[in-house]
Amino acid sequence: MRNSRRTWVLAAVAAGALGLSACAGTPGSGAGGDGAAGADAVTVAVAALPTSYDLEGAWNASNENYTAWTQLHANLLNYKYVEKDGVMVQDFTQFEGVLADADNPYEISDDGQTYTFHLREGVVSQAGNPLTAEDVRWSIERKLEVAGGRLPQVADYFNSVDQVEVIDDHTIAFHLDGVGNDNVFLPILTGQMGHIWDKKAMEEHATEDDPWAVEWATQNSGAGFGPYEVSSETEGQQLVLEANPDYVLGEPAVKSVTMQVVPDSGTRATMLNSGDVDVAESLSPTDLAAVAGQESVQIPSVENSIEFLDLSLLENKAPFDDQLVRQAFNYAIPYDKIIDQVYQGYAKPSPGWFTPTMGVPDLSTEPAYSYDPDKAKELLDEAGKSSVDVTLTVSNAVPDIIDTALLIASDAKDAGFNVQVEQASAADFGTGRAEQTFQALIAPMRVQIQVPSFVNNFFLPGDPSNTSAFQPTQEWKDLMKTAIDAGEATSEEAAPHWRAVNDFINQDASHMAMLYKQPNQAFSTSLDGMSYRYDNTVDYAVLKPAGE
Amino acid sequence: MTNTQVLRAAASRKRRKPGLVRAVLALVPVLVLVTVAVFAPAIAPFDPERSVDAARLAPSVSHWFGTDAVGMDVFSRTVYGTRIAVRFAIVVALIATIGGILIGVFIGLSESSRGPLGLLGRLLNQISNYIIAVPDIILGIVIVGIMGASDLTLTIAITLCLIQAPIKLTRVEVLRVRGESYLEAAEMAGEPALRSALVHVVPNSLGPAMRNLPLIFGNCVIILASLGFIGVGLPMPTPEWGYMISSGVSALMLGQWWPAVFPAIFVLLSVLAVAFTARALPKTWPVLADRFSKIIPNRRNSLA
Repeated sequence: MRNSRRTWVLAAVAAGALGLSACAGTPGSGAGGDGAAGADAVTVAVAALPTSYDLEGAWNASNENYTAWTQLHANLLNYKYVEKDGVMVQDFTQFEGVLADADNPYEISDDGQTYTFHLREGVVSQAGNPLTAEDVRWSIERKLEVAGGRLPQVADYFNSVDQVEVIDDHTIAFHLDGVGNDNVFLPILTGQMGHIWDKKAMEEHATEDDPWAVEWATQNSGAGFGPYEVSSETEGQQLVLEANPDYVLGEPAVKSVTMQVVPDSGTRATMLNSGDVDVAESLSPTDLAAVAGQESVQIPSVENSIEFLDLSLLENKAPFDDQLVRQAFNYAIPYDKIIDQVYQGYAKPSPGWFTPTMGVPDLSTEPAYSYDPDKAKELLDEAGKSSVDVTLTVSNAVPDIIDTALLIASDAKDAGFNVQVEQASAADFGTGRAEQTFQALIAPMRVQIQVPSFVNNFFLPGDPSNTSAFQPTQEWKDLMKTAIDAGEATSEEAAPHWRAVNDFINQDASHMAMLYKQPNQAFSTSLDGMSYRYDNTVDYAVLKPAGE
Repeated sequence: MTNTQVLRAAASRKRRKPGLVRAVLALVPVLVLVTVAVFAPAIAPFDPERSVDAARLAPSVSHWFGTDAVGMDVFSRTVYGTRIAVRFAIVVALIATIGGILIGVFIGLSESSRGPLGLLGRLLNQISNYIIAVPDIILGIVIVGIMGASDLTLTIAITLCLIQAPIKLTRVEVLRVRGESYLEAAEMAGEPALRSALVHVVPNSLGPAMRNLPLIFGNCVIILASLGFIGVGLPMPTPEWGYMISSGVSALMLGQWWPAVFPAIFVLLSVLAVAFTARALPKTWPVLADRFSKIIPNRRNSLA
């Protein structure tokens, strides 16, 4: 009898637990907002807070960290913003001076090996110290010395601070070695890796054991030149950024940004819809669709996004060691259904890794593959297989990719693929992806350096970005070399060669850009200046109250 | 007490004694559960692992429980989920109960003796104590984390979580039975210790572990769903209730309650069904046994 009673209690507890689970994700009282802030202050619902204010000291790729790094720091250059359909979109082929001079930011020597930057005068840091060329040199040296500096992409032609020459207080030259058409020096300086520190402020926090002030910079702001600095942080709940009145491009119109942690995407969307917050970041496609069309909500849409779903079919594992099977699998993916059902239309079919944002003329916009189970079966027949078992691994932290994988599992059956979807924790997924231990996987991806030759980094043997264990053939090497040698990537001469490289990747079918996703933020209509950046973060420095 | 009162009390007791209909009704919840599990392919209108319509359709005539985030039919997945839950629960309940009884008997008989068997008995008892101290879900996560998620590893993980109760229940019973005077009598009569254990100790120690079996069944359903809920359950797209609930939770904020609520209701109902039948069985079993005993001689007579 006692056992039976316990069983009843157990059932009641189960019901209670399920009820509680249904309530999971609602914001705690501590994180509750008081509604959208005043005209020059915005409240933002974010999934989490940044874990590091110092990219070089503690690298951890997340939307929140990228946001902190870009808002607390400034670079020599920015990509030029162009307004399209109410969205400030970065043109990845055009650079403009930020800490570098607005009218004459840099000069390139005739041989293309020396870049000379002219710094703006009268610029001061968040600590009040004037910008000099020594700040730039110290920052570059820090990137080379501290583990997270992340300059390996330019190591072939720039790997020593000796190559940096301070000409005077406001002029600095970089002497590079063997730069060719595959040069990504400017994009590297323009991206996350190019932030400039206030040397004097940083040295005040340096110690003998920590000469680069990593420990201090990871948890503090105030030694940069960015548009914002941290005003306060309540651990795990909210972060307040205050505008830097001395910001080089002018004090931001939004004076205060309160980033409020709301873990659940649906709750973030609801809070935006009800006016509790002004911006909701990292929304799921379903939640984007739910708030779309609401009178008080606007969603940025761009013609060519750079965020994509990266499908890796590992060439070092059966059955994907066979190119025909890889091609068959690509034909077994219900792209349109995924775009409609999972992404609610907030995605586009993919023509491949090369997109119009890279500036290559006349790139095809036709999808590389479409759902065609009959064609997939033919290819499997050709490969001597009728049925193929596949384990498709995804991170359990990305719900839209889990749903994508489920749709693939559902519809690939018609093509002869028995797909099991394996969910891994974010950490396990990252490890397995880097170590190439999975059979197949899908992950979110973007090419932050929008230069065609940079795509080669994702196909280099031994590189952690080569997640499909791609083995470069002589044909691949020849294609890349011919394309690079043909001229500047944006030139008419080089364009057909880059198109050939794109076709090769699509035919190889191991490492595919499955589809391109639209931005995943939503804004109150009380704001203007929605932006789309290379890192998919919101640029609060260009945001402003509507009508201003 | 007058004669009339005595007769009324007797009549009342007679009324409380369940009849055959009530006895059979007590079995209905579990029979329904098992029927749904066995006939899932006939009951479910769609393949539970296929996207069959648009995503997030509300419950309708076409889709009784609506569709989920990828257009899978929630009713079909919930029905197949019953099959998976019942299959796991039966297997785990049997293994845990039988295994727990065997280990409990061994510990109970050996732990106080000297020599290697005594050492092994005490060691097993101590290990069991340690495992009991670890929460079931944590234990499940660790085992699945080490061995990977599959039918086999989940069965092992959940069994390991739930076998401790029958071990302890049986051990305590064995220790109690060992003190009974009829064992001393058997020993004095020269009966071998092994025969005495098998004939007298084991049969008299089974009761508590057997009565615990429904609890294991219900617990298994909950642990399986819990592991699925936190993402370490069966691989997708297997229709498993826990994963269905967790994947549907975020849609609750949008008013799309059906992908999470229906499987949650089934978890609840399945646990309640077993609990109901288990509670009623001690009262109804004598009625059923009595009826069977009448049927079986009649059949024998008719055959004769």
